[in-house]
Amino acid sequence: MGSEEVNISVPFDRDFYEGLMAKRESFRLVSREEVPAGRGYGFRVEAGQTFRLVELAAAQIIDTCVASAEDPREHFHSGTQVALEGTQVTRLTRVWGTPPRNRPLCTCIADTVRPAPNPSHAREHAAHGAHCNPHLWMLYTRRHPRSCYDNLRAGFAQLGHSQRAIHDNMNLFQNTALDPVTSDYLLEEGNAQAGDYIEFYAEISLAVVVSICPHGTGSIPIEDWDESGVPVYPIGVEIRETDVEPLGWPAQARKT
Amino acid sequence: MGDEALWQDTTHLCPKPIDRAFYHRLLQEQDRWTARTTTELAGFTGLAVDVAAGELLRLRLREGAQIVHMYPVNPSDPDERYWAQHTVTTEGLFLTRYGRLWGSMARHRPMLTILEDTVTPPRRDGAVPGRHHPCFSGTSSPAFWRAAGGPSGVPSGWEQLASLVEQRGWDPAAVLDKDDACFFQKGRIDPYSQHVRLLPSDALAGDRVTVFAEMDLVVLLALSPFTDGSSPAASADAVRPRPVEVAVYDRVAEPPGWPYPDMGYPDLTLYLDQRGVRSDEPVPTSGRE
Repeated sequence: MGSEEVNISVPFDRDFYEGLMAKRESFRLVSREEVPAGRGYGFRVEAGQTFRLVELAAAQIIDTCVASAEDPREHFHSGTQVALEGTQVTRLTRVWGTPPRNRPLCTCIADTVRPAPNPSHAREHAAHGAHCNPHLWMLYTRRHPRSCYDNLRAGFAQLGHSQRAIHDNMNLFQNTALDPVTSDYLLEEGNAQAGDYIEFYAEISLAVVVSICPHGTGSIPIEDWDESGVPVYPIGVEIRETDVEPLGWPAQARKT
Repeated sequence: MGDEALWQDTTHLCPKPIDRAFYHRLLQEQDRWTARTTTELAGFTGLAVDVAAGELLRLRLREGAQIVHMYPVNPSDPDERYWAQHTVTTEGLFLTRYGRLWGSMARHRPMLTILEDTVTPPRRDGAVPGRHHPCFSGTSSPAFWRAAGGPSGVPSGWEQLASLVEQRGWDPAAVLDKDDACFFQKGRIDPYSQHVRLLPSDALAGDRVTVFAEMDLVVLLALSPFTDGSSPAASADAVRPRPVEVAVYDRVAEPPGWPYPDMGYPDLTLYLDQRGVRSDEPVPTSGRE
């Protein structure tokens, strides 16, 4: 029995994405929406466009579902994500979809949050952990506000899909770590400030649904949700045209 | 919140009450457990095992460490399936005794509870730190297997599970869209990068994991082509699964049920249709539009 870790890497055309990011000033704004605090919102992004999620007022966790616009059964797959990219998302992280295609759905090209040093090595943008739901709220507070599950359901309904399209999502702007000793899921107060954003380049046409988490920035312990009146904030959703065609998958020769 | 005694002192993000005394009693009665069926899983074929509420399922390593992917599903409503991404918030990444495998929305209830876990990391200087049984890891995904150089003639864990799902007439894209638990797999969380590293398992022949079924289930099992997790496979010839004994034990107790008495619990009619399954209508939750 050896002691070596299995190290695995997937081919990644970094030059393509660096070239894409170098063109960012030429991206054309297609749409800009403000999502009110505590709500969900669904939108479509075409292959080759970007979508940017902006913190408008303060740190705010955004539960984000990403699915194929053509077949929502193909969607973000947290297991593949963690295995290939790790538990956190930042610039040049690819976002992987479910088997059997098991391909990149989008790629993060910008992340302006600057995490503060902390002993747990927590950082924004978790790639695992799913969404809050009425069970958690009823268990801890005996009340049922509009949970992320409900917000995501509303967002998918805007796109003509049912609650069955809800899947395990990214927890963007959620400041988390897994404790290396206990393996507990740690949650720290978010570092994002007004104006911070994360942006993804769509590798295929996408149905994206976001939920403004009623847990706010994650600073209120779960047992205190009831009394605190957790503050939540609106976000911005911006779509841009890049005029850069995706590489496709399996990756083809570079087209830029 | 209900009986305070059921709330464990835990640092988990989303703790939930558990009647540990109930499971401890079951463990004390091991000499009365009776195996109903015993099967050997020795190939990359997968195995679907029907386990009724109150029965036990035991995985025992026959020859040495072998990673086993486990994915429980409600056989009468396959939309209710294992929810790894919520299990991690309630149990932590690595499972062990009294850890529970939680099911998906809308019921979101315990599916299985671990009664036994005999795997023990070696106590020696220089031992590689890490723990076993991640509630998910993604090592079953075809993309990970191929990235590791796994030959196309050997199915990934997911592909084995998908075959079992198809045999039941279900759609793998719908049923198998979540992650599986990886028993006997060892991993380490890198504190700086927050990557979960795959390590060679410390499990030995004879090691076992026993789970208690909280509800009627079909438990889908697949042997990982990574075998003990010690190295990526370079060729099909190099990939040889190690057999695992799969035993189902007669019902040992009535499950405690969920929710526990006096626990806050949502109105499921907001999510379920008249058939008792999640509504497929593209509408928001009533009253929370």
